[in-house]
Amino acid sequence: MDRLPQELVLEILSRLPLPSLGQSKSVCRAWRILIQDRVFVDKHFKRTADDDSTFILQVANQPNQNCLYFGDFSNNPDENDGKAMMITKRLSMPPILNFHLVSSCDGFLCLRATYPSFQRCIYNPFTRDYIDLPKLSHRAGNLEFGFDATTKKYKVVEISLKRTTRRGFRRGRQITAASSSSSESVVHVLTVSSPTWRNLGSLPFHFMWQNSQVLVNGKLHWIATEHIMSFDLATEEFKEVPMPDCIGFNRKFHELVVLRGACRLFHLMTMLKNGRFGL
Amino acid sequence: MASTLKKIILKSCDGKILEVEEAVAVQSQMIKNMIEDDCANEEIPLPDITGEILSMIIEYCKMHVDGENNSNNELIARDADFITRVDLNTLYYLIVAANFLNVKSLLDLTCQRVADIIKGKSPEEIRLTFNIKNDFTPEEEEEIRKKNAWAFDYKD
Repeated sequence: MDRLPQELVLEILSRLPLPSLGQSKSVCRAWRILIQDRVFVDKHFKRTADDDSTFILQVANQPNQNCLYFGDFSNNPDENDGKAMMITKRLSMPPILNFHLVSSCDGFLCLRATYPSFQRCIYNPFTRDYIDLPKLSHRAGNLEFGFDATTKKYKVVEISLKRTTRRGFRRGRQITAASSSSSESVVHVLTVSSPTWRNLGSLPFHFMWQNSQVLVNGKLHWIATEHIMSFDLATEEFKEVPMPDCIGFNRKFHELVVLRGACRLFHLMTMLKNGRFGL
Repeated sequence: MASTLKKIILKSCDGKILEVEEAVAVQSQMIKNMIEDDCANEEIPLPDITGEILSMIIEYCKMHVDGENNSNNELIARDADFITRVDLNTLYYLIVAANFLNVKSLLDLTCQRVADIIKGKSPEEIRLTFNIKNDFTPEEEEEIRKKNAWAFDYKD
């Protein structure tokens, strides 16, 4: 193997599934350095992104304590008589109590503890590396997490309902105090590794809580009051995504999901009748 | 028809001369570029590739040109048959040569083969198979093992 130039060793190792990579790190120093290199990580990620059979599962199997599992739907015909099978492996727990998985990006998990601490952290369940995020005095809201390719930094965005109402918003239109009480959201952004959250101001919308993160082309998406809003992780600007007018907007029955790398809005009532469309 | 029968002459590092049909030779992106730049009219010397390895690569490229009309499954089966006949030592030379000649499908096949050999092996088995020296101290090894514990009892 040492007769091969490093670029070709990288070519070989980038084809290994995650568990084999985990073991390969302890073969020798040269392999460990190679596997932890950003060039390798990017290459491995690109290779697996198109045909990724792995996932991370959150299981609530104890009261107030979720567990994380690594899963793989890989099909290994040699070992399983040609049948596809699912392998799961329990992952190490992060050092915070009562957490739940709120979003993930590139295999990093964004976790948040439940009331009262709402402690937020980024966790790599494979290496057990853990970053505690600075405290945010606001109450817990929609927490999302993504990678900004322009600065090569991870960013966390939290949108929470504003408790008190006041006039004069940094963004958005002026609305009366009475009607704003339930539909104004405040946006905080944190660049992971920086010590403080930045307040980006308020938006005159109520953002729906969603099951899964919708990160497409470097933009996070949410359903807000009768709008779909996108947030560009690079420019840190919100934009309204045009709503198709073919479906009446009853937000109770909609959910945004990512399908095959594209953002889709599911209309839960008509989903089975092909009631979905790309954005 | 004349152009498809044009021969490209390749010379290995141990002096072996091989005449290859152009359609087979252009499986190598490097040779294809040379032909396009009109630099392939005389014999092409390949300083790091032995005659034995070069013959294998030509066999592989020929198989792919001849099998163009075959189904994908047939090609996969032929690839598998080709690669499983190759021992590890030859595999290294094939990888270096496929990379130099830029035969992408062969580079994919050979690298995937080595990855498949690594898959499912413990670090100690990997070191034995590939003759790699363990340069970690026992403490370091234990620490890495602990950190990646999830991967180690993966099979259970």
